Amino acid sequence: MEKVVREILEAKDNRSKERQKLAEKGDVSLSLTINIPGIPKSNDQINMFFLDCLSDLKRFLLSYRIIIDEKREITLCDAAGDFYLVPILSKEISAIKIKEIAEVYESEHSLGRLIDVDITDEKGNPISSEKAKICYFCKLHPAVFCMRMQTHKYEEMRKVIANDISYFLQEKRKNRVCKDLSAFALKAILHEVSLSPKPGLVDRFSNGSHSDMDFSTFLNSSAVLSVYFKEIAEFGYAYSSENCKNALPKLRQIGLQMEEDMFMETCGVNTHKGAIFLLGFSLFVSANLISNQNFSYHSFVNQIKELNGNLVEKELGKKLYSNKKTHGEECFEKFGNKGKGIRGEIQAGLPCVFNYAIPVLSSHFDNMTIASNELIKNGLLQALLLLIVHNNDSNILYRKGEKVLKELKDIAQQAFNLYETEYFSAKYQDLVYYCEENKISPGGSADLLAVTFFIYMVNKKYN
Amino acid sequence: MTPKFKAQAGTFESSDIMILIEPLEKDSGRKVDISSTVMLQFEADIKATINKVLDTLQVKDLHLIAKDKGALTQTIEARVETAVKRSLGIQEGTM
Repeated sequence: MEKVVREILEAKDNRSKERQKLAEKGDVSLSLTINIPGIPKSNDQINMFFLDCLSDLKRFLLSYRIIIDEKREITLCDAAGDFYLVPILSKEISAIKIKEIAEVYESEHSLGRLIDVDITDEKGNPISSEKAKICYFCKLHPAVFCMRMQTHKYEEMRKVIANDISYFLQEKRKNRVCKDLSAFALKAILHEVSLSPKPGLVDRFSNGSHSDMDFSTFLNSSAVLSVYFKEIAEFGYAYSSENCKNALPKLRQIGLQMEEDMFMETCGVNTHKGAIFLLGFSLFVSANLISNQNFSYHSFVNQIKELNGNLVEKELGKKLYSNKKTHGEECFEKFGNKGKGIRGEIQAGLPCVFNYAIPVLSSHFDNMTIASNELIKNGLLQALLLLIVHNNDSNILYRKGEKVLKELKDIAQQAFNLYETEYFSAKYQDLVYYCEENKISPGGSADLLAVTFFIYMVNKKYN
Repeated sequence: MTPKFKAQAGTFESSDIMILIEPLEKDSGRKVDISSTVMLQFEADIKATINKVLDTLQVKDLHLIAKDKGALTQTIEARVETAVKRSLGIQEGTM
């Protein structure tokens, strides 16, 4: 007998013994195996699929209120492949009923035909469904028929299975990544608005220099925007054109829809227009880079530059709306290079974010395991100061002019220099007063803060 | 050779077969019963495989019960051989 056949049969003997041990204790048991023709019965990819099915199956069983005894579970990988066995604690559910529910699991799973969930009753007998499963490959004959007739070549079957599992795992990863990115984006805008006190900006306790919006306005606006984050991430993850600029119209469509929803929610107040712009691009670029296993600060900067090209010349130079000029357009007209605003910042690859704010967040958050109010506040506050120092916020420039922008930057720099000294809070308070008195709102810097935090979180998990 | 003991080999795992052997008196001949939870149309096939192994081992008198869970020929051969050897008292262990 071939060595590998003997090893597989020994592995089956061993599995059977483990089932019998549980039956001897009067337990019904449940097992999970993956049906793989030929050898080896498992490899890294199959094992990953098996573990995914296992955690999925555990949730499934719990949802049907089938309680398993995880303390006595066995997970192993031998010549017969991956194997999981666990006794069932729920005595009120019969083995036959559990088998029926296990069949629901198999039938609902997109690759259910590769999955075997077997039930052994308390007497050690296998519970059979008495149903002949259909062949995974030809979908014409019962699987046993094709197996016995050796209808399909092992190599070909294994190729199909490897492809299917690979696709399945890729979709899983896509889903995980897009959920993560959406959560990061929402976290970013929520933590930005919650940082308190802030100079001139809406925070938990003050409306800053604003009379038309408060903390609630921001929470509501965040909620309506959050439902689009996953859509953008999914678009970016699946996007595969050579020229990433072809993605712009679709991105703008989502962005414009978000703006409409935001204005509807806030009764016409602009809470997040800048954040939509920055986070929209960042979500797209991050998802796209992660899908190509290529996320880093460096690749992010390159792609965001490539995506936007010469945004300033293209957009600020010409009027987008025939009936009005945007503030950005007016500002560029009046102040030239200094008035390039957020478009200039993006075109340059977000230098304020990467040169100043990200290093600050790194120094505060890199070793953070559990986020606390205090930790988050310290990191974001210091990053915000540095952003105000370096950002030519076109909103301030447009409303208040160059002199005020310069003064604001100077006070922010002084406060930053005093960080962690006893004089800091007084200086920071000066900045808050200065903004309130002059009705200044460094909203552009707040948007950059949110996007900084977002990019930082993405990098921490996916680089 | 004539089996002396009741013996079994194999499992109810999928793609396996369970073989049970009961000794019979000399000259009572072979009695082979097959049940398959999965498919009966291969009964003749399985029977032929079993008889081939029994011929090779020169076993004439026994009652053999096979419960098939979709085993391939190699597996059937291995399980029958082990069951026979156990029933003859010449192989211990798991197989």
